[in-house]
Amino acid sequence: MLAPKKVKYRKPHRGHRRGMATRGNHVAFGTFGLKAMENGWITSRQIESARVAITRKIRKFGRMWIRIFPDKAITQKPAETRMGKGKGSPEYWICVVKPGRILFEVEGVDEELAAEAFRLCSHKLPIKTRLVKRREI
Amino acid sequence: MPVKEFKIEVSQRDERGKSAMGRLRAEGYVPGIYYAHEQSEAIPFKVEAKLLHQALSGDAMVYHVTVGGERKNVLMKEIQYHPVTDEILHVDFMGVQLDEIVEVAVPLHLHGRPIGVRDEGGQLHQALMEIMVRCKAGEIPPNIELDIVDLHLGESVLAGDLDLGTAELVIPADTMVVLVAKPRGIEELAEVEEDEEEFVFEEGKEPAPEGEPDEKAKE
Repeated sequence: MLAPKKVKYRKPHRGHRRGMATRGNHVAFGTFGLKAMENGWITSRQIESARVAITRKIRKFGRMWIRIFPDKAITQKPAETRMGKGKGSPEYWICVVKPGRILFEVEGVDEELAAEAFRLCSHKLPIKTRLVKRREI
Repeated sequence: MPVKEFKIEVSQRDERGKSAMGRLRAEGYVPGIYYAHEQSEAIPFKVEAKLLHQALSGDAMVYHVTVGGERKNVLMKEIQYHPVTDEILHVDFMGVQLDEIVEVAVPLHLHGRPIGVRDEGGQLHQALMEIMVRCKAGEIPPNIELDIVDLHLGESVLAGDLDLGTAELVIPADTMVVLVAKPRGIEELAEVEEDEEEFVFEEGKEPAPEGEPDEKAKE
């Protein structure tokens, strides 16, 4: 699963998710992309699961790119613990996704296969998504 | 190569600012700006969104635009899109003389399925989707055609091999454009299977069967 090698601060604030993706919002590497239509937190497990779904579908015909990276640690306190005693320990990694962000891209497959791969992939994700094509010009 | 041209009717606009532009877009227009080397001041204009989409769907590179009562030849220098809906938010037209030398990105169109992919189990990697060329504004090719049927496994096409007509290549001639490579997919698939096994191992315990709540839940 994707995770940073090291981070400057282990326990970041929760932050906010308002606004739209100002970067990474167009298909840059492949022919088709999966675009986020909502904001949300995507965990490294969900990214991995989505990657497996796409790879299984496109098999050896195409290539794929993951355009997001889970660089934010989420902390949790152990169950049945009283409040206080400081912030919990980092448990998993997430990526903050805003609407418009391209999550995955594929190349070397036709639109039908790309759509099917992304349909399977979208079932693994907690947000609404849409298939987009590369823009010319 | 004869230049394909597209006529775009635009009207000058006096409205400025975010809210005015929002109203303009709601009425079915796209705000834009016109500028040129010989002109010191830029001219803001609005154009019908429908017309702009028609212009973009064609393969013209130079457009005829009437701005401020004058007919101009323009290049679409920049188009801004909405990050979610992909609607056009703003367009930049750059005025050019047809004999002026300009640098533009021309789309690359591939034709055919390479032998390396069809018979030898290779995978097509397209490194460049557009090629930067330098040529007269009136002679910009609408696209660059490349026949890749004869490419075998391991063979590639470099930028210097492309047929650009009268245009001149801006990028280095040894830049790879297309490659038929050995697929990584099979190794990746094996990796996927391994990962799945690892995942089960990491979990460490079988999920409790239905109807049998965890010990913690009983407490």
